[in-house]
Amino acid sequence: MKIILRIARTELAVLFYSPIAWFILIVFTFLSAMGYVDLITKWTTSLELGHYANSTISITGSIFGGDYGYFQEILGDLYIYIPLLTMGLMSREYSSGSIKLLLSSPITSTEIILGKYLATLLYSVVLLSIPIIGTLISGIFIPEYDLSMALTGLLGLYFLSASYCAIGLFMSNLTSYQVVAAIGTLVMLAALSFIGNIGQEYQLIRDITYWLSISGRAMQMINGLICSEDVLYFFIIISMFISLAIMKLSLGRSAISGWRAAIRYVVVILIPLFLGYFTSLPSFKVYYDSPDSKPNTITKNSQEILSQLDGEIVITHYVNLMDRFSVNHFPNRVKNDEELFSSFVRFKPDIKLKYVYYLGDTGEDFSRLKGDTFYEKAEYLSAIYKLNMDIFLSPDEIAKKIDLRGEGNIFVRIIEDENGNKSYLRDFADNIRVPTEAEISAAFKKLTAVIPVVGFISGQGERANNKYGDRDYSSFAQNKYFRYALTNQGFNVKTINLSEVSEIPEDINIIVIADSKAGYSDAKLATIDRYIARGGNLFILAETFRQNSMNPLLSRFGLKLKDGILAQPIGDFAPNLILSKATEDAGKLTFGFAEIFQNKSRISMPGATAIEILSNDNFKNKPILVTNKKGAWIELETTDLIEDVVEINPLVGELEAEYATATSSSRQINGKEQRVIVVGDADCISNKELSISREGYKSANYSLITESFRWLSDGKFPIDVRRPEPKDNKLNLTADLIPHIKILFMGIFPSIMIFICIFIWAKRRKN
Amino acid sequence: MESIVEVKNLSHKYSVDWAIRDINFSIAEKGILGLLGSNGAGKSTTMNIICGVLNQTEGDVFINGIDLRKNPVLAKQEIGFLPQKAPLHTDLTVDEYLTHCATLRKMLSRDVKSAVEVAKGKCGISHFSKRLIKNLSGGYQQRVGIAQSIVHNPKFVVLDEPTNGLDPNQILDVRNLIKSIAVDHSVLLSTHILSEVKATCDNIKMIENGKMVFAGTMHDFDNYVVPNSFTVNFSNPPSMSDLSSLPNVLNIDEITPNQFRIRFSEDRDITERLVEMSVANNWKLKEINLEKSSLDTVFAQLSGKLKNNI
Repeated sequence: MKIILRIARTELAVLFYSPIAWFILIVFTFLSAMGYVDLITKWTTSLELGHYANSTISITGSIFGGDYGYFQEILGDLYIYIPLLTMGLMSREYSSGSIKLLLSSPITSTEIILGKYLATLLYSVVLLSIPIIGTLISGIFIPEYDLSMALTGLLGLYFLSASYCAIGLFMSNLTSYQVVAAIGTLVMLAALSFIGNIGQEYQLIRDITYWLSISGRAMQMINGLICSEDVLYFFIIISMFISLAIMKLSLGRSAISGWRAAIRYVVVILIPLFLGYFTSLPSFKVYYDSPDSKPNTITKNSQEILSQLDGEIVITHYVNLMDRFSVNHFPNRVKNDEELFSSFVRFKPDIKLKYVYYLGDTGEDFSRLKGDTFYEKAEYLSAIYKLNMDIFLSPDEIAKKIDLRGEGNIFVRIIEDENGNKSYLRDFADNIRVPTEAEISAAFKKLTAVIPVVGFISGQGERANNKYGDRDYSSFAQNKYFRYALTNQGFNVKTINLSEVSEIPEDINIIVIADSKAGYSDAKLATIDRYIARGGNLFILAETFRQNSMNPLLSRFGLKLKDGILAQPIGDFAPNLILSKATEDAGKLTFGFAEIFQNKSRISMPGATAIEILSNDNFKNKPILVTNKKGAWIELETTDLIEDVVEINPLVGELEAEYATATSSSRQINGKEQRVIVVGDADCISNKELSISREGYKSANYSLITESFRWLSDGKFPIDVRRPEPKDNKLNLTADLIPHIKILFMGIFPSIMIFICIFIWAKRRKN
Repeated sequence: MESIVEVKNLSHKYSVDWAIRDINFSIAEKGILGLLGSNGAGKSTTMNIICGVLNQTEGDVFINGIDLRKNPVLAKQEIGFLPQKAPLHTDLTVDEYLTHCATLRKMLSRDVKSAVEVAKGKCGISHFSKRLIKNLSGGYQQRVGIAQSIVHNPKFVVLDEPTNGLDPNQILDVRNLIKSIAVDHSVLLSTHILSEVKATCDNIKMIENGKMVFAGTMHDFDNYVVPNSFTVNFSNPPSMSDLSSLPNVLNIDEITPNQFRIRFSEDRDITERLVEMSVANNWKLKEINLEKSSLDTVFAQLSGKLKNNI
């Protein structure tokens, strides 16, 4: 050990007596200081400008973590600078002949290599001095600074640079040309980054090459998550390259035959691969999520859902060659799927992914593809994607296994437990594409929980849950490719035609009555009454001009639609576009309503009716959405708010007031709370309104759906995946302090290094 | 005499060709052993193996009785090695470098400083202690190289062509230095310069084509190959045919009208006969100069013998 330290000391001395090490150090220090100051400046400005005022971001995480954070920036630079540093470690010894001094000295090859490596490890600490200083002092201006997260990231950065050093040392040991060693290291690093893409089609090769890949390896740690797999990866990779370097040094002067040397090298490479394979097995992994808010860990709710699952869970991916969504699940993309579920596998290691590849007609126009028959077109596609046609089941074969016509032969995952319970998990037609924690947890929960069933009443001209018209509700009800659709958030959806049934089925927990044109006959009302009497929940959406058809039903809850149309001219919008806001009472229903209230978000209602709360003994009624107090009235003089002049006219009884546009009703019945939400507009959650984006206000129409159903399902669904808010969400810096930080980091620190460099140079120059 | 180094059946091959084959010798505890051979003969291979820089294919090397292959760390503690190209860190000062070398040789920290002083003193570089090695002249750099090989006071010092590239004065200095080192240490000196061997060595081993072709004292070596030419100068030169009538003369070159080079086959008495004939025929012999065999000739001869033996 002593001799290793001594070799390291001399190596460091040689390094620091040469200009190259100082040059690298000074340039790197300046660049890393600039990166730090830039980020601090950026965040100070953003926070001073009031961005993120209400947000709950972690400033520590934002500055240091993430793809655009400080550590990621440093990481990109290390890639270039470390090879320049390590290139001379051994090749200098070879080219100057001083290797013979080492080899003829009474020390082992291991001591030589470890001594050199130790020197690079120590040098790396100096190289990373600015990130280290930045990590340690940022707490001065970030209140509740998340030091553990920043330190975890720093550790990741250091592990990565230590790996780069080991690779650089090995490459330097292969040649007496320093330039070749530097380029060789860059090539090796590039190869180690690229290797993760190789052989992804084949299970074993995929597991090995993906594990070997160094690209993104420090990312989890930079984001605050220490995973045993990553830490062991660094240790294994470092050990492997150090061992290879030692072997090269020993075998380089030994007389053992070529193939015996080759066998030793192969063994030294195979052992890490073997270890790597095991360390990446889910059951061997250990995690530590360092940030206080545990952003890298699924929420307690999701963990609770997983803990309810017994036995092995199989997630079968049904991948159709002819479907565009499926491209992301072809054999070469399996690792993406594994990563998607990795945070769940962490808590339930026996989640297995399976794949079924098949050919199915998605109804798409395939005339763009070459070939006459469906099969020829499929063959053409498989050739383009370089896929083996044999892995795909024919339409007949897949039909024997499973009927996917309901999914339109579009990509779907079916999650199944050992008891045969199943749930569907899809990809969505939005920017994120893949399901997030909320959807995945909902799909898991569906396996064990009693699933709330939402019945959409039909037959009286109601909005249809399965139609794609502007006014209809397919989007939020059961559009399979819409993330916030009830079916994707954990609910089951049914249609109930009151003309066909005399009783609302027992399994229905929530009924939706949306914009009944025709109203309900006494018999149908009686059916609904029996449902109300048994304590079922209701989501009722009224509409303008539906006073007659809907008030009889609403009277059951002590509610009434007022005559006339609501008007609330705001900005450039039509006067009948009511931008409702949430009340404080709404905030008491669910956390999401509370957010709408706090964030002053609006629910856009194109044409709404005011709801009047009548006195009644049965239900506790409260307005949850209301108009503005000023500038809102019920227009009585005209029904055409677009063409006619819309002005408040107190003479005809038009009063400026805060009108309720949605109410909540509740009562205790049969030992539980019965819940009803009534909305004065049925368009606000229609297909059309959900697809509209308007400028000038924060829209919360999606939240109205999720939060209403959260309340109506007693909080069972959608899954609450909120996290504790990060405490480090402020920055005690003002723009006028930035120049001081700039001078300190970009001026003083590099200057100290330049000074030391010149001092050493001048002192030694005299000799 | 006790031997410090024992080399037994040493053979080494790079890929398929044997660089050295069946080398056997031992080295005494004191004195200088010259390892002679032409370029590529296997000198450096042998030295590298003895110093543990290269692992042999076959055979054994014992340093102070310790098997170099089985216990390299212990064995190397008694070795000081100056390779053909001095293994210097030119960015360090002489003191820094020698201290580094001493620590590499596992000297105790408290002994290092005095050891460095002693080595510097022996090599005459004490006044350059703080000088960067790169600022020293070639001769002094070579002295630093020698100093590192003796800094840990090894029993056995290996110097691979230590005077290469030095000017004549420096060569003389270094040779004297080597002689002084040999007082306390056993020195193995490799060279391809015969005069260097003559000037410094007590014993000679000669390697040619990877085989040991000669082992003996300097005196043995001098007499191993008989000189085969001489030049003569006459005031009254005889004719060429007169000269060629001498027995065993192979050919005669006329250098000047009065001076000739005579080559002869193996005959130790030819000069006596020439003197006798000169007196008898009044050739007025002024000068006779026996040309000793050049190293090339020796090499050629030894190589020839080697081939004949094969």
